[in-house]
Amino acid sequence: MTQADYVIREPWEHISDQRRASTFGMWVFLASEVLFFGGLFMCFTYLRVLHPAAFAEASSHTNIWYGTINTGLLLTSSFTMVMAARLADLELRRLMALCLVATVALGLAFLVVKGFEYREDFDRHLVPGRDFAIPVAAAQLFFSLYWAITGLHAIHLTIGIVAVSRLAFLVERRELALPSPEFEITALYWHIVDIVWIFLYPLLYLGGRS
Amino acid sequence: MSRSPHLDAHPRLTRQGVGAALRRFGLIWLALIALLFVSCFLAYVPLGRWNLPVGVVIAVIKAGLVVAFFMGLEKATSLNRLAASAGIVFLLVMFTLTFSDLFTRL
Repeated sequence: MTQADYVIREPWEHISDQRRASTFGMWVFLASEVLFFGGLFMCFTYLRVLHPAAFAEASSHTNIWYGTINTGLLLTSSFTMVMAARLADLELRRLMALCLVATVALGLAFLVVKGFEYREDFDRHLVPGRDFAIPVAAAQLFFSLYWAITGLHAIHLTIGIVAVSRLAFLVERRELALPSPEFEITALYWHIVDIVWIFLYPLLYLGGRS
Repeated sequence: MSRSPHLDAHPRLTRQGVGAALRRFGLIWLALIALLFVSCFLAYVPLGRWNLPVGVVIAVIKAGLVVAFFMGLEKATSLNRLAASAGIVFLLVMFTLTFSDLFTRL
C-alpha cells in the first residue's frame, strides 16, 4: 500500500483537493461553533447589563488562580498544537508526535485543574439552588451560566483531547501519513476551544476584582 | 514509510523550517502569555465601569492572534476567510439586534 492510498479518501484524487475541502469544511463547522457559544455569551452579556453589581459580586467569588493557570495551560497547548501541525508539514514524525503528546498532556492538566476548581465551588456552595452562598438573587444567574458554559467548554476540550490522542496513536502505529489534512483540521478545532476560553477568562474571572 | 526524498536531500532545509516555526509561533505564544498577565493585572486596577471592556478588548486581541497565526487565517484562501467571517457576522447581527432592543428599554 502506498502512502497516497491511506491518506486520500473518496471522492478525491489529489491530496491538495482533499486538503482544501477538509479545511473549508472545518471552518464552516467552526463558524457554527462560534454561534453556538455566541448565544451563551450573549445571554451572559445581556444579564450582565441588567445586573452589573450582582455579576461583579458573583465574579469575585470565582478562583482567579485556577482561572489564570488554566488560561496559560490552554494558550501553551495551542502553541504545541500549531507546532505539531507545522511539523507534520515538514514530515518530522518523532518531533510531531512529541508535540501531540504535549498538547494532550496540557489539555488533561486543564481538566484536572478545572476538577479541583469545581470541587472548591461545590464546597463553597456556589451551585445555584437553596444553599447558594451569595445572598444576591441575580448572582445565581451568573453561576448558572458559569456552570453551563464551563461545562460545555470542558466537553469540547474532552473531544479535542480524544481527537489529538487518536492522531498521536495513528502516527505512532504509522497508520496515518503526515501529509494527511487531519492534523491541520484537528489543530483548527483545538484552537477554537482555546478561543472560547480566552473570552470566558475576563467574563467569569476578572469581574469585581478592583 | 520514509520521509520525502526532497527533505532527506536537504536536511538543513528541514532544520530551518523547524527553527522558523519555533520563532514565529513562539513569539505569538509569548505575546499571548504577556497579554494574559496584563489582563489579569488590569482587572485589579480600579477603572470603574471600564474594567470589563478592557478585559474583553484584550481577549479580542488574543483571539485575533490565535486566529491569524495559529489558525493561519492570515494566509488562508478567501473561501476559508469567508467561512470564518460568516460566524462573526451573524454573531454581530445577533448582538446588534438584541442590544439595540435592550438599550431602548433601560
